[in-house]
Amino acid sequence: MSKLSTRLKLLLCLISAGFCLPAYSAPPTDRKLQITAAYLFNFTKFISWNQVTTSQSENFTFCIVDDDYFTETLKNVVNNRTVANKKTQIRNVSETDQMTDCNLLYIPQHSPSLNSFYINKVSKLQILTIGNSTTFIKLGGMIRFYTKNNKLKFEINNLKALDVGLKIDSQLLRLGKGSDDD
Amino acid sequence: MKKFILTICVIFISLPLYADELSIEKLSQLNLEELMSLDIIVTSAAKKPQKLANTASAIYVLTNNDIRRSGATTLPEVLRLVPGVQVARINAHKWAVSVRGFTSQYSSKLQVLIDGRSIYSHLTANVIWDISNPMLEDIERIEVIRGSGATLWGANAMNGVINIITKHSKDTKDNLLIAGAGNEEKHFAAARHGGEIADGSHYRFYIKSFEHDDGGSINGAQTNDLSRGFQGGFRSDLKVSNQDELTFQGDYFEGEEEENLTAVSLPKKSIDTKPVQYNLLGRWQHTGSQGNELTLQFYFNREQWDNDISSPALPDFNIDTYDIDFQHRFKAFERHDITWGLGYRLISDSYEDSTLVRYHPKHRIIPLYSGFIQNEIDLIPGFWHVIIGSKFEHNDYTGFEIQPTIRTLFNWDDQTLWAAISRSTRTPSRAEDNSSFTDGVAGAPLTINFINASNLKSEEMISYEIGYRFKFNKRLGFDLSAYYNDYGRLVDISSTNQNGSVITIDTSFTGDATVLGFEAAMDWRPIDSLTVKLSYSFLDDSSTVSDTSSNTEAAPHHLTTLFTSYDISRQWEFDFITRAVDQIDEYDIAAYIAIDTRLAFKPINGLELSVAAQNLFDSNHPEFGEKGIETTPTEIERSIYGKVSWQF
Repeated sequence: MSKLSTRLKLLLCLISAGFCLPAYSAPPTDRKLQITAAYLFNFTKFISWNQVTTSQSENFTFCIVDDDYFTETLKNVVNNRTVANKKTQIRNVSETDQMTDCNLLYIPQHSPSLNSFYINKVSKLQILTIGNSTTFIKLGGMIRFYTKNNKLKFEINNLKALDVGLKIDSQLLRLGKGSDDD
Repeated sequence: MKKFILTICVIFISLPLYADELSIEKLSQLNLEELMSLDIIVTSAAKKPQKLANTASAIYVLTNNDIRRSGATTLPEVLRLVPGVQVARINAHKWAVSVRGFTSQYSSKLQVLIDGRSIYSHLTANVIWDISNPMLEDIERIEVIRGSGATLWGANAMNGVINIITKHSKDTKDNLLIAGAGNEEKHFAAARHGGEIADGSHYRFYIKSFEHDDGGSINGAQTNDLSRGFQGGFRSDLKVSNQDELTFQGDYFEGEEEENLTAVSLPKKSIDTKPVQYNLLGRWQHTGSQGNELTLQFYFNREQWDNDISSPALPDFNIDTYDIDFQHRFKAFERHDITWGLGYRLISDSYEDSTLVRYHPKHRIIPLYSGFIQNEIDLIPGFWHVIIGSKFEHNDYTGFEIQPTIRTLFNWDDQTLWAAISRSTRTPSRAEDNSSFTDGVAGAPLTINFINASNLKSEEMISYEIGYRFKFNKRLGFDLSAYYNDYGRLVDISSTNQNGSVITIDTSFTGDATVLGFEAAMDWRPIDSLTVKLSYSFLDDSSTVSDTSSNTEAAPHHLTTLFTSYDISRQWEFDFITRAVDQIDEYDIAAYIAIDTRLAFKPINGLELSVAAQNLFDSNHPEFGEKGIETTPTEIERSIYGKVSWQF
């Protein structure tokens, strides 16, 4: 084997090796968003909103703070299914919006001040608040997602939920952090 | 030869495949228990067994040639080549760089110096990489010490020290012109002129400019994170006598950085800041007889951030640092090699108010006194050495700090075995000491106060390290190191209280953590024209308290780098870098493999034409995230650029 051809082979191998690399699957952020969305829909099965069942409104409304992309993801997951026999509606909200028609408010952002602002804004309403921020529960939020061992888990502040008359099923409470040994 | 080619191919082909995706329909049918068992990130790249896995010492040196052949255009990119250094790009101008864990934009436990001048920020306890842009061609070497360097380098050199050493001006007595452009590196250009002033005295001047394009968008949102900058500087080394040399050097940097803040409270979310950084350094070096060495160094550094608008989101501020250091090394009683030194640093800073962040007080003068002594004892000459030493520091936040180390080293044939126990500290930053962040969410202004209910304490670490170095022959060497770092008093942000519109976070509330890991590196030169550098590092930081500040600090547990440099002929060079980086749960970053490559042609002496690509086989991927003051998340895109370099 001549010297040149060895070099050429090596070079070709190095270049082609690059092409053998696998393609990527969908970005992980997407997957986490999808799992989060599936959770949000699932939660509604274990929580009773007495104001929803008695209200005249025909809709159950999921409100998402300032995240069009997640709103779309949730729409795909919920896919026109019903909650408490009401039609589902999914809405992106921002700070100046009215939230009285929201039944669930999801705050994807991490900023404590932002979380605090929304939690306080809806604190008198029967709205299930869900967030991701480390301090979410401390700021008065009801359900917080966290990541553990590459799995998405959640913890629940049942007292805050009871404050506004939201009844969380014991099955859901059991799965949330506290009973789940952390 | 055949065998070698096979080995290389096996390395690539054995990279794992990625797992499949769950359809959204399926996902929406799952129940809670099933959801709880789903993996968020479905990869396990880089967890491949390594036949060639080898050793890294606690010190690694990157040469000028490594830097040139890496195709890197910024300092942090260059550091990607160093075994065990975690480098992730957050956006066009923000980086997360650390050693042995606790990685984030605010990596607080890594000290970085350029020619003896610290570029670690006392304000936010991190290195702001984007305002330090030395001419990469003029860097002689970068020494990276993994593990505690506190005894010599002082507080904040907890997990490691990076020393960037530029060339002596006698080695740059010519002219250099560089120009290049690409899709992500919009343009870059540099010029350097050097020469001789008198016998043994030399100088050089340089200017450079660059522009980085916006990062890739994750969900269609405009990223707006481009940055551009200009830097100029000089260095002059004057020979005063056969034993004395004076060095003067300085740099001036002026940049512009754009960003989209995601805090909803802002009327205008895009910000445009203009950092300026300049410094002037003077050093006297005396080399006496019998290993007697004296160094006296002074530097001034100014860092300044300006927004062009009134009431900006982030504050205008400036930080002035004055530093003087003295060091003396001498031999005593035959077997003792003693180094000692004294230092004084004065930091004077001043801040304007802004919508998001306010520092209190607005102006502060912070002195730092330090001294160190280290003795290297030749217990059995040529075989057994023991090194003992300590740094003594007094700072304004926590008072007196002692950072001792004891190290032992055995040498035989071409092998080295060493072990060390050290204590090091990380002093609180200005931001952690009673600062206040006001976030005016529309109609409901909110203040986040960082207070210290009890006295602020330094974070501390006791580290246990062991290392082994083996030079098999001229062409093959291995380096291994392992460590166990025990951290105490880490700032814990879980102590959060809200009272009306005031959120209080007590930074004197602390937690503990341990991190353990190992690093392995191999340097192999099978034939003269081919160099293969392979490294792997592992760390386990799972014990970190989830609410400590380390909550935002997260490092990949597995990191593999393969750097292959091949001289195809006298005129052609080919370089190929593969980096396999493990997932980072905290920021939902999937494991990724990035390929950087470079092809260079040198038609005549002094002229080099090259094409380099970063992330060649991947159009875009995220490398890290942000928490705190967040900006639009970005992905790192494929970058391809061409470059002409002419030395004459």
